[in-house]
Amino acid sequence: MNSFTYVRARNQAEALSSLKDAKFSLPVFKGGGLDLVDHMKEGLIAPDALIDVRGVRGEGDLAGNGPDAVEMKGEVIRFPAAMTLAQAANSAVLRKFAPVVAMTAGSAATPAVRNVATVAGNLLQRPRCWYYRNSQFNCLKKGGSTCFAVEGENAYHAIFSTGSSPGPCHIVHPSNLAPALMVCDAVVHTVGNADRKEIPIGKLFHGPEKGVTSEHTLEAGELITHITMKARPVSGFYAIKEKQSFDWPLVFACVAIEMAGERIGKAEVVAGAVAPVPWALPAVAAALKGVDPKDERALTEACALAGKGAKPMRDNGYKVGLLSVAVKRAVMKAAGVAIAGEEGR
Amino acid sequence: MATTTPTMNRPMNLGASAADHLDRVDALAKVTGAAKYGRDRYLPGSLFAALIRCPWGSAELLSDNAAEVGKLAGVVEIKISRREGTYHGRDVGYVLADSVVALKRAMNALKLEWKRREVKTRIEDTVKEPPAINEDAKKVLDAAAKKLSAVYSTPVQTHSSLETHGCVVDHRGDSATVYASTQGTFAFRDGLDEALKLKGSDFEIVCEYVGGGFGSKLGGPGKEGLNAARISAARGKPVYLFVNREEEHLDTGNRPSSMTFAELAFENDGTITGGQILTFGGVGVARGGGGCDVPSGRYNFGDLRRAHTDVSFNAGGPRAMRAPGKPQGAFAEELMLDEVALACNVDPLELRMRLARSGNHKEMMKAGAKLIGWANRIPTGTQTGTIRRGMGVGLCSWGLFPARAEGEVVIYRDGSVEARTGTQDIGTGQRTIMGVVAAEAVGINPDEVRCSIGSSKLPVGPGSGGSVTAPNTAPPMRAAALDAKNKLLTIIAKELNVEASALEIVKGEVLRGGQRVMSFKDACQRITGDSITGRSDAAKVDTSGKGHSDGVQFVELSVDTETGVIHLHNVVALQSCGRVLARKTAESQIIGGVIQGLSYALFEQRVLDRVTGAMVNANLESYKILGPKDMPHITPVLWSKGQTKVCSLGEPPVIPTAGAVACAVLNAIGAPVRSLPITPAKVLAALAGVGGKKNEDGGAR
Amino acid sequence: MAEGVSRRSFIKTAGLSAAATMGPGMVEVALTVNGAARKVKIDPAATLLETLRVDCNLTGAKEVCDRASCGACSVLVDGKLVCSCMMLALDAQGCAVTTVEGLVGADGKPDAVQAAFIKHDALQCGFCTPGFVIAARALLNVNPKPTLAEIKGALAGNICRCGAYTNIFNAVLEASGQAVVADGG
Repeated sequence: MNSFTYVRARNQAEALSSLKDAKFSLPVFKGGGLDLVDHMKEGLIAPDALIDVRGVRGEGDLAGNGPDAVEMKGEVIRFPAAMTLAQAANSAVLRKFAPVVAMTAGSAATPAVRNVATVAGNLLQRPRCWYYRNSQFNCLKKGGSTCFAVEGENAYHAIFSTGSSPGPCHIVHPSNLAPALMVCDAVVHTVGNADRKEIPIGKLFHGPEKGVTSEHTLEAGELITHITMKARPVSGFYAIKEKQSFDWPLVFACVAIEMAGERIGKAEVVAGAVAPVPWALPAVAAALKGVDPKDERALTEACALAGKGAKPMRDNGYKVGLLSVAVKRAVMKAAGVAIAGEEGR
Repeated sequence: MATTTPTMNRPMNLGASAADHLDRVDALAKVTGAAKYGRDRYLPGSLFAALIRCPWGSAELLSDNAAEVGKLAGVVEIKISRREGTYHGRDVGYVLADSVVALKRAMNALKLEWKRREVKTRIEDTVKEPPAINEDAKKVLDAAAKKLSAVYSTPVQTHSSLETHGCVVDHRGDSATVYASTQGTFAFRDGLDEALKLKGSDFEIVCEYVGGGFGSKLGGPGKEGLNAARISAARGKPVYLFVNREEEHLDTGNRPSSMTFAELAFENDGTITGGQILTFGGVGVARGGGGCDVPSGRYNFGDLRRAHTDVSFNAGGPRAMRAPGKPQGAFAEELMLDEVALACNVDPLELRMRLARSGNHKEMMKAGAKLIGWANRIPTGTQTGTIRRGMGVGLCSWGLFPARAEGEVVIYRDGSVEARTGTQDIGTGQRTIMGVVAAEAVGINPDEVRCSIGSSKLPVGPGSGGSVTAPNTAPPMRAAALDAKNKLLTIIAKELNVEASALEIVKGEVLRGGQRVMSFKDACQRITGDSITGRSDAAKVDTSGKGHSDGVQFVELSVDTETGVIHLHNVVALQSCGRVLARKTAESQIIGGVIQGLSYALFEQRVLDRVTGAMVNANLESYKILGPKDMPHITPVLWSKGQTKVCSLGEPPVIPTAGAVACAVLNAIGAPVRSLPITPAKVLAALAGVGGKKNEDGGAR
Repeated sequence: MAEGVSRRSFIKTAGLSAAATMGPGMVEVALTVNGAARKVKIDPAATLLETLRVDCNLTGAKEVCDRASCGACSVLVDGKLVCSCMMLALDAQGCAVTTVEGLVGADGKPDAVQAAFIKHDALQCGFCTPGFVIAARALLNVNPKPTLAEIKGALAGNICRCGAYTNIFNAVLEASGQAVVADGG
């Protein structure tokens, strides 16, 4: 890693002023630091100051306090940006009122990573594309002119595009928490930008057609402090992975539903690992309305729409069908319907 | 060692263990972090080195900023000695720094401008069409009742030793100590004298612990050792050079990829009459070493035409990897047999009972079938639910190879006993079993023997490859221990005025005619010098004879037909073990082989970018190795029918697993996946090919 | 996978920062490792793993993947399992760090997890072993009687290349006072 100054910020003012300190040419905020250290080890970035914001206290507390950093007031759930994934996974509030978030956090990475990785870091981590991650490939994200995945090895890349045509960059968005927060209508709260303090989670991300060198819409110097969202007590998550121990999902889906008797009254469906952004599936959500989640045939039919419009690359066509299965099983998880083969696992 | 005590908690054990409950003697050091591996040797004043590598499959170095980086704090030297590379990972120079942080910083700061060239990255780039069928084979095929025409392929698997390749060289002018991570302490020594500018007697290779090797650390010091030695010799300072994870994938060997083109002729009952099997090995920039062992000789394949060709391309070359050539061949062979069985509507186990050549294999198949519950196997192609279960079986065999080994056993006046062999312990339990052998021959408990291993100053021993260590080091160690005991008993005999042959040592007591004479410790106090040393006489040690190792494995799994994900349930692994020296370490070898085979079957593959030739998954994130949550229940069965010698045990258990997995998948879904690793995408593609057999009610069941 | 927040923030304005800064260049850091206070002089870029191994001579934690993918560098930081390869040593200031060496009792006896690993031969080459021991210890500290599935889940971030998992599971069951799975699980 390159040489840098380490700054420990105790409050928001320190964090923000350190970032503007003239003696630094490339200062960055650091939460859990996993993705940042990863980037620095690979030589993908070389910041000259790391501003540790884990200890930021006071108004808009970033750090998670106590066993459950999640608060619930009325219908609104609130948690700090630097809450770890382990805290999210173990939160009694989330497990009861937004199980999709707890499940998703608990399935990310590994136990050791979840103890360090933060919620905001999960949202803002950079893609896992193996061309992006290798400093030798001067890909679009690094200012180059080629997406190497197009001609190269694209089994794990995107099947949907945000623009009118595929690409130009074919990453899948790496955050598994983002789709979960989207089905909970989460709002990201920030400081450091005079023009706004709240960003609906769906607006936090943008596709490559709107700028390929970043995946989020935060302004320079803008710092996420906390997240609020709605309770989604009937919600679920399902990931399909090649390997059941640490692995990134091939596809996954997050679902929140409201039941009307035995049938689904309303649904929200967002998928991951299929597009450069968390991928909302409104057509599937609409088709799920009126479906009895115990009726797997009807469920399968509604979820079959998930892959509609996909434009797979040479080696990732298998994801199209998998997506429908992931959505179906996420609904089953949400509704508490047993999934074949899961008993005893 | 004539006990035949059954081992504990085993459904069946035909093994005879001298030390059924003995713990691995160095386990305490390993679980507490006290064990010092080569990588753990941080010597005062050490310099740290890293190799500079070509980042592309083929490229020419146009420019570099080495002069600039050389000025960074802590950087001692940057040397670029080559300006082109023909595979990703080809070393072209090195960086030397005075700390770990400075070294990594310099490696990041080093900017090399390369001009990429066209590359080939796989066998298919050269073998573009199925090869022609030989005229003789054609005759057999034309006369056949049934035929199978199929292509099987396996990917490159990297050894992925957790301790990467490298060493620490401490050159002190007229002597040197080298802390190496090696499977061949003496091969490492023999390759290093020139680089160190020292005679082999003037330096010592120390290898007390090795963090895995699996064949990749057999071939001497390699470029890591040579560079470290030269730099340390030139600078008179310790040099620490261990490659990183990426380099370990790229340039420390691998199991080569393979393609098998099979054209088989068979009768309606599954009897194979012959045909043609052509295999290709993907050897990267190497010219050979890509063997693919099919047919293995374990089955009768009739009148078969057979040829093998190695194919080169722009990638790191292979090295021996646990049972070289065998797992890739066994994958093709076992799946072929199941496809033949399916075509003939014959139970695949029944077919193997007919085609197998070894009676031992047949007996093991019978025993294993009971343990896995083969009677409950569901006939292939009859399941329609979402989750479909499958069973598969595979065979393996391994020979016994001679290797030069000597041993020494030292009995000290204070009653302590030391067994000495220079051979290293790569995790097989060498340190443990040497103690068992020496203790038994002397007549004391294994925990009373201290084992000194892993040094070129100790008696010579083989590299840990080919499963030769235990079979070849046990006899000389036994001879040395007997020699030491006889020397001790001669002293006692003189005192008692009897023949030494009238005395024996049993459980730490010196006996004469069955009566206690004195304790072993008291006997040792009669030693006049500091100690007596028993030596093996190579000429008198018998390492010949039968030591053939057979094995049979059964795998039970289920396939999720909606996701293509495979869940492993049970593996039964029967393995010839001959005479078991230590049950726990023996069973660990079997379990470990199975797990590596399962990982090969389902997850592992080197992914080379087809355009640039760069390996894009040179890490442990997207180079996927089986982890705890992927584990089935594994039942290792030590099988030792009639064998009295120490047999090979390390290599064979990795051979049959992937084939058995592939057969189980075929059994479950009714379609073969002929390409490893068996990923969800391949399973789904195979299922799609089955067409109408897919469940009609939407897959729900 | 967190760097917390936006890193694209390079507004250059003169500002006074009251925040504590360290580096660039060598800094002296106070760490508490296995109960003992230590002062080490390190570069801010040094990871906790490098610092433990090189500066503290605690080489039990290993560098294997160097990217938090394998668990070989596992240590406890304030009782929580972390990959020390991806944590800056400066991030561990003020925290209690426990390495595999620190599990050994004052009497020199191994911890129950370590003892069970020995008994069940839950290791071969031993290079991954400290990481597994620490991960197992972290599990048992919060879940004294884990099920087999919970054990597999808690160890899912650790890789053993020799293939000792079967015996590792049994060792963890044993260390938690539960019956082992015959022939492993």
